[in-house]
Amino acid sequence: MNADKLLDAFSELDEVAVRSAAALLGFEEERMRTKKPVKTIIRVALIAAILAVLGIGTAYALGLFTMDVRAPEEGEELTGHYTYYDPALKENVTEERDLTKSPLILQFTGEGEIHRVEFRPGWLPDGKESDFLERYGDPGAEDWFWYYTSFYDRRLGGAGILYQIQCNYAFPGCTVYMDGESARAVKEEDWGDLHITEIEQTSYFKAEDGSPLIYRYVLVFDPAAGWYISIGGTADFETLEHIARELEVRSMDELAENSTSDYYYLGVGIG
Amino acid sequence: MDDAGILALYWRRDEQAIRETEQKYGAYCRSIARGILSDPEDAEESVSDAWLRAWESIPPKRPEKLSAYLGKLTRNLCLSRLRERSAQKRGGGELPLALEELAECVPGPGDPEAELEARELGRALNRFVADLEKRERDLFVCRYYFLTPLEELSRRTGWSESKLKSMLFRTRKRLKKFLQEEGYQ
Repeated sequence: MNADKLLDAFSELDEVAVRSAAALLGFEEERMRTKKPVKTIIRVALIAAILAVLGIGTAYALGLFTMDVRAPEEGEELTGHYTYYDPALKENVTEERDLTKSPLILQFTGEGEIHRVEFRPGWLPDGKESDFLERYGDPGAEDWFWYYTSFYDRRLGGAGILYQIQCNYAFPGCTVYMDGESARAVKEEDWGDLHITEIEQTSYFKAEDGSPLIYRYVLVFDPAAGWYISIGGTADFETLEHIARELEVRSMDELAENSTSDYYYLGVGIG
Repeated sequence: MDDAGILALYWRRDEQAIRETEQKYGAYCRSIARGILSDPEDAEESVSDAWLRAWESIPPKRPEKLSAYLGKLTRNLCLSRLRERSAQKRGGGELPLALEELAECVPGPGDPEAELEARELGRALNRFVADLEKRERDLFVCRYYFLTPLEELSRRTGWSESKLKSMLFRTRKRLKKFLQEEGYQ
């Protein structure tokens, strides 16, 4: 072996190590930034129009997904189903949950494969590295997560969580429900190819001073890939948007797994 | 598009393979090329050459991990350009410096006839690098993968060049010991 061979062998280094060093040098992946939003809005609407004309076959070919954010209609029946195997009964059991009282729901359509994604925060509000409550990522995938919960919001005496970042998927036919006194979408816009929905929710819980606890969410949705990342918490929209804009997202080889439930919960909390 | 889909395009000799490769790995390979070659045009040419090499080599190759294969192609092309330049001018440049430093990690003269597979050595390097602390690893990879000058590393990390030299020296010593224990004599 000589130094030349050793230098050449560095080319075999794993992508994770290379990307981490590249980040230190400032050669970072494309961040989510606003790029020509007007053009993208037109593009998404145009593709939706094409889909409407050509039908679901094209939806599969294009792999496009939609997210509908709305309040349940008066009198609408909304039931979530969760199926699991009961070892005592030795059969599958389906439980139902009434979702009609949800102040806001998300529903999805589309066809195509949805790949699992991970994110890497490029900016987070000030706080000690050890201040996060929980974070989960693949073993060995340093700095990449699919779930990240920050510290408690000290401004609220510890009530509320400043921000929580999670990977989610637009499984067609599934309903995502929220709870709380109220929840409403307050803004929608496009950042390049990504669709952004901002939601404000009044929680059932109160801050230390007795005032209602308000949670805000920035949902970053990729209609081409079928994932959405929720950044929710008691932080203000400017902070949550800043986190969102600086996130890196990478797609994994494996497909996202849908559970045996057709409903999921959107909220901020741990445990 | 997932890697299996992209590879299928290569095997079908569908030129969409190049477009998909550019879309999925363009930013990654460009970051490698820009890190090694200071000239942006050279970097861009190296990435284009990497796509051409990928097109020419797949098939018959069927890389297990496309990102690793393309990263390796890109880096090797960049190193070839640097070696050409170093041969044309005497001294100077990060490549000879990096080689001088890495010479310290080579355990011994060994058998000059023995051809060590780069891939085996690469696997050993991956094991070594995985055990390093993140900062140590980032520095080591910046210096010997990207051939980043110490001045640039000092600017990026806020550490003095002398501190960086000490850290890299200690890591090189550990690498030498590791390679000896792995049997690379």
